Amino acid sequence: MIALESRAELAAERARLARAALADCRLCAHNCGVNRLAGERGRCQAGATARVFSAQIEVGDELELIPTFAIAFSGCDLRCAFCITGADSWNAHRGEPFDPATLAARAADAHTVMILGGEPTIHLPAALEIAAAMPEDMRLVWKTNAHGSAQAREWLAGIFDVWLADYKFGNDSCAWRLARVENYNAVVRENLLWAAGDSELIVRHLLMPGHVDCCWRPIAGWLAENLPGVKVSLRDGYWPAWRAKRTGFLTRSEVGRATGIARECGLHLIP
Amino acid sequence: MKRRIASAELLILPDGKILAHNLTPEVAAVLRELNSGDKQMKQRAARPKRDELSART
Repeated sequence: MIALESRAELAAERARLARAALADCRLCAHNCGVNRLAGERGRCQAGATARVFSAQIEVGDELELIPTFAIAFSGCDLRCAFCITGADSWNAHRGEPFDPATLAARAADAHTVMILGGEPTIHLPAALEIAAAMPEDMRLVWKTNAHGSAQAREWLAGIFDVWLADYKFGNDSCAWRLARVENYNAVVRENLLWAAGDSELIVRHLLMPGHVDCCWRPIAGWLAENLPGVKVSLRDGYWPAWRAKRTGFLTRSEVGRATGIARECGLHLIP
Repeated sequence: MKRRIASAELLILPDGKILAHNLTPEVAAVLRELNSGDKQMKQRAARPKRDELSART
C-alpha cells in the first residue's frame, strides 16, 4: 500500500471510492441504499452527476471565513420549508456541470473555499474532486446540514479545515414538521461530536420565528454541555422564503432572548 | 460550468432591516454606504483578498 501524503491525493483517492459507493448510496443518514449509478433515486433525488447552481466570491458568512469562494451544489437530502435557495437546493438537476480545475482557478483570490449546497454530502465524490483540485494551502470549509452518515465522515476525515455545520432544530418534532427528517437530533449530534475531533468546527443556528424556546434553547444547552467552547454562529437573518412565506419575521425581541440564552449557557458566539 | 455573473439578493423588511443572501463584496460595499454605522458590514466590505492576508502574516 502506498502512503498518500497530500490532501489532493487523499481526496482524489476517496473521490474514486465514494463514486463507486453511489451504487449503494448511504452517504446521508436517510440510508436509502439506491443505485445512483444505475439511475435510481433516493430521497434527495440526486443522480450520479453533480451540478453547481452558484460559484462566486461571497462575504456574508462568518467573518473569519470571508471572503470565501462559495460553491453550491444542487440537491439536498432535507426539505426545510424555509430554505433560502428553494428550488435550486431541492432540485438536484438545476445548475450546470463544472470543472474542478476551473473552479480552483476562480477561487485563487479567496481566503477560503466553501463547499455547500443544497447539501454537499449527497455529492461527496464531486466535492472530494473539487477538494483535490485546490491548492494544498487553501483553507477548505465543509458547509453541511450535519445529516451525513458514518461512511461519509470516513471519506471526509482530514480533508476539510473547517466544518461549518448547521444545527437547525432542537427537537425531532420540529425537524419532522419543518424539514421532513426523522431522528434528526441524534444524527446531527453524532456528526458534530465527530467533526469537533476532525477539524475546526463552527456550529451555525438560524433563529426561526416562534422557535427560540423549542429549538434554540435545547440546542444551546446541548452545545454548552457537550461541546464547551465550540464556536457558535447565531444567525438572525431568517428570510421568510420558499414555503415559509406565511411564517412571518423574526422579531427583535426573539433575537434578544436568543442572545440572552447564549449568554446564560456561556456559549462562544462568533460574528 | 459557464461563468455566471455573481448575484446577491436583498430583502427589505417593514422595519427597515435589510437581509442579504449570497452577499458579494460589491453589494456589501453598497450596504456599507447606506448605513455607515453598521460595523459588521464595514468589515465585510473591507475583507482583504488572500494575497493581502498572506502578505501580513
